[in-house]
Amino acid sequence: MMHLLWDIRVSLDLFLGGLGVGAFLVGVILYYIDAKVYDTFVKKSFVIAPLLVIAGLLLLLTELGRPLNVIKTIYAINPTSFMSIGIFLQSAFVAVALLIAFKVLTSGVESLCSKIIYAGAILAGLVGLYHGFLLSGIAKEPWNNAIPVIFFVSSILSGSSLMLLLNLESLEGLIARFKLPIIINMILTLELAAVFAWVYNLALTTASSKHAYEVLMGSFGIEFWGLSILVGLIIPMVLLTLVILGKTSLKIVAIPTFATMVLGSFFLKNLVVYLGQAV
Amino acid sequence: MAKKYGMIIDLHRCVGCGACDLACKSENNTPDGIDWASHKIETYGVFPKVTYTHTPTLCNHCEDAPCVRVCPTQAMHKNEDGMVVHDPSLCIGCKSCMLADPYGVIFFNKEHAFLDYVTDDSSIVKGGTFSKKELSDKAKAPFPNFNAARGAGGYEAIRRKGAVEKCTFCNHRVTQGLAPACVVACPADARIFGDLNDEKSQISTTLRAHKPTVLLPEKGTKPKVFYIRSYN
Ligand code: SF4
Ligand code: SF4
Repeated sequence: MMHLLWDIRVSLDLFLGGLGVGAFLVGVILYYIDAKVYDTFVKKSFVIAPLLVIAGLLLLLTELGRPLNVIKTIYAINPTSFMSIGIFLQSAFVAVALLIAFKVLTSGVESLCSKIIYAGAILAGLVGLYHGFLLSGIAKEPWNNAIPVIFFVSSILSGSSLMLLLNLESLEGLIARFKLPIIINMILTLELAAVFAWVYNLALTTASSKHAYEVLMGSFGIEFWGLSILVGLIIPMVLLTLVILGKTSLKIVAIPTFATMVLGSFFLKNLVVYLGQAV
Repeated sequence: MAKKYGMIIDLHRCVGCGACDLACKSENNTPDGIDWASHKIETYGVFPKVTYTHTPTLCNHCEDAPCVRVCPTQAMHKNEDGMVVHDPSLCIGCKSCMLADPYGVIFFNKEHAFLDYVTDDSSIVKGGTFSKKELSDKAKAPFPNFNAARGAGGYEAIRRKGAVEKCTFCNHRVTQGLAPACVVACPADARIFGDLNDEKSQISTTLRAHKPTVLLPEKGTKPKVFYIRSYN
């Protein structure tokens, strides 16, 4: 049995937090494109986003030895610790996102002020990056500098997939306007490239990173190749390619495509969290 | 000039008796599974050319300490004497420091240590009457190796659960002008503790006389526990 300091609650926090950030950012994009047309989609995004982030944070609190001491992070700041800064970022994001959700629920999307959405978007982006920096700041070989990019892109993919799953009725309009399969495939390609840069780095640098690479390919082979790459990235990419080639319609493959992207994001983040502790 | 404490472990003198490990346990009353002072034993080679090494280990009080860098609350911090110390009242128990420390010398206190000596009323010997609680009540100490001296002066004599802990270079003794417990207990005088900033101190002169090594130099943490006269 692997001796774990951080268990699945940390992976779930990073996954749920990422889903929330991704969902929020999709909501922001559609809000700025056309808040009236995408009213329901935007509304759902802004309501769900803070709930997901809060759920992740609550799970994380149960993982801490002294959760009540978290309050002390407000004044005992350590500028060299990503976690110390991240606590402020996440709190600010949750506060702004809750305010937006409250306004949306009580007075509708049209009551929102674009300045607060903008502030929320910036904070969401920073929180999305912070999730990866949290790990890379600890400086274990598998938690190297590629992780912030991998986690951020994964969050965008999973958050937007979740929102598309919850808004299947507006899919047709989105496809007609935005060539959705092409955009998503481009982001999937970016994620694949970032993952391979990470693996390449592990395989080629120090003796300890080479060891991490061997563990990744050995004991974590199925989680990496099967769950993270095949399920999370390749299967959706193939399905979307079939849509682009006109072999099938996005409506038919929407559920498996977006569901595998959500699952893949969890598998990948969980794998990274565990691999960092296994080496 | 501010002090900068460090320690030398002379591997030719060390007999591997473990007195340092025990002295630390008794001084700092660390519970089972938490060993601030420990050792690693390695055996290399193929019979009949086999080499055996015994290396005492403890927190290296690194100059560039990753545990201090990642701690979100400054619970793990450097004091004015260059020691890496921990303030449990600030610790959130996130274990980031344990993940960042390449030496594996930080421990998580997941249970109330020695709680059975405060609560367990059942008799130690079957049919007898004496219990753990009775023992600690009679001894006026919450558990057998309770060290009231460590509790004086702001240090926790009983460390509660949920925080991490590690070697403090016996900071509570050093501030009284005493050497760390492991240094005093070593029957072979294999440990030298002192101020690295004082050129005339025994630690500084010894470091000049011998070429020291440190553990995991490639991690760039600049440890302040030095090993001299290694086996090879
Ligand atoms: S040995 Fe580990 S715990 Fe001690 S100062 Fe260095 S990194 Fe921190
Ligand atoms: S466990 Fe405590 S000492 Fe270690 S990093 Fe977290 S808050 Fe700091």
